[in-house]
Amino acid sequence: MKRLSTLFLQLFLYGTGLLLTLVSWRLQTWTLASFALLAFLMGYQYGRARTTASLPEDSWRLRLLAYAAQVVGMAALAYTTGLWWLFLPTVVLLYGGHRLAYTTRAKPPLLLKIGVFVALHLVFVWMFVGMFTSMPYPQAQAALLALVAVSPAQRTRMNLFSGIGIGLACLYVAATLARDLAFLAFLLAFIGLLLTFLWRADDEDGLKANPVVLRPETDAVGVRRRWSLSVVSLRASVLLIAAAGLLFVLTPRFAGHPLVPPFTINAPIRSAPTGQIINPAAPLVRIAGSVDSASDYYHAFAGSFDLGYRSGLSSEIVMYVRSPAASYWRSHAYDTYDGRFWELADENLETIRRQGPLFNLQNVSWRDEQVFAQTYQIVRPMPNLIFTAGNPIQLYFAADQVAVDSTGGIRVGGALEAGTVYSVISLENVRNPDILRSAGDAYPREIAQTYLQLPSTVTERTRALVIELAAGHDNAYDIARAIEQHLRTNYTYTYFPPPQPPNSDAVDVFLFEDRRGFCALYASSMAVMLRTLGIPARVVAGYGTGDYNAFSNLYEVRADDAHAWVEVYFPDQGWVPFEPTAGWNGDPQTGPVQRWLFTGALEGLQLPPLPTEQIARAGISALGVVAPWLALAVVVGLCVFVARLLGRRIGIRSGADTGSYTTQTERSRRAVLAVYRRVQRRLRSRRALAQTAQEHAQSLPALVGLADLVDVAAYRKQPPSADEVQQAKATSKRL
Amino acid sequence: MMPRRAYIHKPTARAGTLIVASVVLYFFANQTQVGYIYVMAAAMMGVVLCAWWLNRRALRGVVASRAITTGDAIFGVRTPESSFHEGDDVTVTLTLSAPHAHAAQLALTECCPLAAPDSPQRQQALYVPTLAHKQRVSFSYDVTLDRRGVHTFAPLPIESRAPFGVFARRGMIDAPASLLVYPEVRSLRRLALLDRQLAPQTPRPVAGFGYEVIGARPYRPGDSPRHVHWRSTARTGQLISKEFADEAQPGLTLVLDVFAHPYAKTDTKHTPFEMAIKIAASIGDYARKRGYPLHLMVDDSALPAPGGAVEWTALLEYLAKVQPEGIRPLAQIISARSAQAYVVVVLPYPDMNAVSVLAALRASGVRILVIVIDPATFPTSSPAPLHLERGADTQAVVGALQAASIDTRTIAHGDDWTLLLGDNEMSLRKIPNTQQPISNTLS
Repeated sequence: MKRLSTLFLQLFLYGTGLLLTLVSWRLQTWTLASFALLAFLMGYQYGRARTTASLPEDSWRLRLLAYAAQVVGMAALAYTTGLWWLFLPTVVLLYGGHRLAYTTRAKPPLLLKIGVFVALHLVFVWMFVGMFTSMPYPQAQAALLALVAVSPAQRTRMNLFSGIGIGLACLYVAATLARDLAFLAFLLAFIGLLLTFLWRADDEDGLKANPVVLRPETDAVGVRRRWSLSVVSLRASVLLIAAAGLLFVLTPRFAGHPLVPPFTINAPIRSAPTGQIINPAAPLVRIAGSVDSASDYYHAFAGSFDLGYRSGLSSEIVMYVRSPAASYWRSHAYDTYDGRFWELADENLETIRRQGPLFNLQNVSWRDEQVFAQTYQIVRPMPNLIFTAGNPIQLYFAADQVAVDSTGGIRVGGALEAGTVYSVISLENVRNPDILRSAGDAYPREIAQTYLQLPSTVTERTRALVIELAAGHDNAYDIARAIEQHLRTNYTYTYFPPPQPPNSDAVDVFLFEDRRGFCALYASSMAVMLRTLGIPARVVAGYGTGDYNAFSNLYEVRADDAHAWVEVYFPDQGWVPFEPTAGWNGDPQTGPVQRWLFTGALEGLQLPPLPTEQIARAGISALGVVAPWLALAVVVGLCVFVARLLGRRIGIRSGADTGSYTTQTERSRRAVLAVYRRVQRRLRSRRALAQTAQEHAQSLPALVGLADLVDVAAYRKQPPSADEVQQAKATSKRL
Repeated sequence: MMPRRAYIHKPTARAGTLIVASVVLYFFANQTQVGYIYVMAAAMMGVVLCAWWLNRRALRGVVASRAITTGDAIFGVRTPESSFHEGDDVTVTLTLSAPHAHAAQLALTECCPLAAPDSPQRQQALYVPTLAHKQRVSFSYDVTLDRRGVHTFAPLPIESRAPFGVFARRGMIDAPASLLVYPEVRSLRRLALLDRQLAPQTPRPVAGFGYEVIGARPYRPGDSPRHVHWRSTARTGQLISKEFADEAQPGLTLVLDVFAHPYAKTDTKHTPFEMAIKIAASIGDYARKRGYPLHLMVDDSALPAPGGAVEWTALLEYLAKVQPEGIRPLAQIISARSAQAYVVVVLPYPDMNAVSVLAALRASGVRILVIVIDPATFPTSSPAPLHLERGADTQAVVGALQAASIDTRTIAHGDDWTLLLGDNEMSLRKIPNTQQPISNTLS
């Protein structure tokens, strides 16, 4: 009967959730969707609580191991998110929850179950509220709080496994945010605790299931040999690290389409972008000449690009990039050169408004196999430029609008603060050299007008050098490669070439006077030389690839990775990047993206965008309705708890607690007594009314063990455990 | 060279969980491009591989041995002895060791064929948490030898899920031990057949080589001239030799009916045949102690019996092993063999065909004691054959034997046959005239 009622209630809750989902989909009201989610969760939890057939876990050692594993997961999350203020109280509350679960494991009170149920749903509401109100890492907070919320319900071995699973989920969330090798320490600690838990669990099962336990004897000389767990641990650790390491190295990595749009966690930028490039690293006063100190300021991230500026760059990490392929991270380009400065003459900006969670940057159709996603995590204040790879077509960014300039550079309304995260979906731009060679020279008029511009400062010897380099090549691609190769092999890279003489051309000085310089000079030289041949070219600013961390799969981009390179236009092919700077061995073109079976699996699947804002508003409104009642319930509950506590202290007992224990309500007591009655019938020997079970057993020695259990069932405060009930039944079978 | 053991090495549900978790993490790693999720996926799968490798060696080199001893409980000295009888208490010691490698979390089942089927010693679950290199663990338990026969300990089923319960390795390890349990031998206070004789050296009235003249016969070539009886020779006119008595010690022939009669099926060890074995062993012991050479007369098709005068241990060994599987009825066996001066016939099944042969044997001068066991009085797990239900056959056989002046004893289940065998009077257990067999009673 109970199982039927459980099943019915589960079906009812699942059905309600499904109905609410369909209605909310139809009406586009996300309030109902949030209640649908709650209904599904209630149905799952209710069914699990009633039908899980596992015994209360009596081993406090196992519980301690599970607790430790959960704490490690929580610590990893706190470390990667900085939520230490939440970590410490949740660790204490988690301990309290486990303690409560352990003491009430035989029969948890109904109030406890209700409390866990309500708390868990409040955690989810908190998460949605946090996502709307720009709370730091709302998902991480929810993971920590969820672990605490379910801890009092972790009575059985299966519950402890589930708790460890939630700890693993915390570790998963931490993994998505981890950037350094410290996460490995948390992972190793978690795995160590998990394996110790598994070992211990099997040991406990072995000790319980087998009544005879054999321990090693003392050896001939009487010295007891202790079996060293460390030997097996060491061997297992070495094997595990070797196996995991080998798998990690050999496992191929593929790119897939993100299942859900990446969340941006900072406050949205509300202001509209302008033509101005805002660079928070720009010094207040720019000193003419060289600036020896290293800073984050790269002078290419500005409205105009001064080739006469000399400065060092620090090696601080400015951003992390997650990308399935290596690339340069492009921000924008310059089209006009005047002998010293590069500028973007065309100040037209195309404003794009957000559509749902994303910006559609281009009106093109694409398939999942053609695109790849990059995620940028800003670590230090950065200019209001969006760095991209490949040919960006979609942008997920917390802003109302962005602007695209004539060179494809994307700007936002304010500088990027540390902690900003955004994602870009781009088309690959791997180009075939043979196709480029046959591209021809039919350049569109607007391209030719803009990107063939040259100042009068370009010298004859520059033009002569170009002609010399281009000799023997009959197409723009080979000429560009020849120039690129010449620059890479004949000039020396330095941050601090001599200052540019006044009234000189920066390219001329670099090519023929100094013969050394930084990336901007290389790029400028190549762009100018190509333009002299009538090949459209421009100087591009951005960051180089950075250092790849295989563990985090992040490219660690530092301030000194700031870079300039060249883009050359090919008819029908678009802008193709080249790298002329000596010593820079990266490829400005995006590397090949490895795809797999599931890359295009979601093509055509119209997943609705996750409406965090609406859900959050729904959560807040629901919370507004529920909160007063919840507060009242909490206050009443606390009062009842305190009253009972005080009552116990001063000796007030409830009617049921009279010193002898009723057998009416406790199933285990009834079970043992039923066995006793059955045995008496079988042996045709009934206990007299005035006889105790022990006295009765004196005439039937076979009943001695059972008589002990009968006394436990009838008189002991704590009802018989499941093991004792099983023991009684086994005795009955033997008799 | 020991045969290679066949172990079963199987993944558990945990292996499936870890593999699924690894695959899911790998999928999400590709979708999210988070490097550490690749690490987590590799770690999960690494745990599976590590557990697989370590578990393969979990039972490697675990050896077991057994020792069976019986000892003086008073002095606490345990000494290995070579003879074990039904009902004796012995101590079985099982020793496990791992001479080559560490072992852990060993779960094994000790199945003792010596114990009664319903005894807790029959099957015992053992657990060894850890067993280091060159360590050993021992398990001793006392058991009462339940049945006669050759008992061989089967290989020990053993399992280990170390180190993490991801894989389980199961197999059998040999701990060979075989024990021959002799039947129960009870001390008889008296045996009427043998007790009537003053001394075992009572000469038989059979011609042989001796000193006492018991008669005369015609001279046969080879007779000594000194043995010629001259008076008879003078009287008869032909050579007559003296006949001397055979002064060889008289022996006891144990006749046991091992024919495959249609005994009723039973789950207990209390069967007519088992009782017959005990009686035969006890009688043999009684005769041996009084110096009577023992001879065995049985159907060799069930089990070849030792010929001639049987050593006591040989008799016990035979009685320990023999089963009612003979193909020739008792009458045929008796007819074909010669018996000693005293014959004890134990009939676990009322065989009327044996009566006439026994009567003829009695008429030849052999002293016979027939012990008839009434199978209808024994517990059965299925209805006894119809003709046994009323014990009619037993009564008829006993009556026929008594009519042939053969000393007969009737033994029923539960009787103290040590007393009944010593009685001078023939006793016949009265079979109740009811339709219900006395069955399913325990002694």
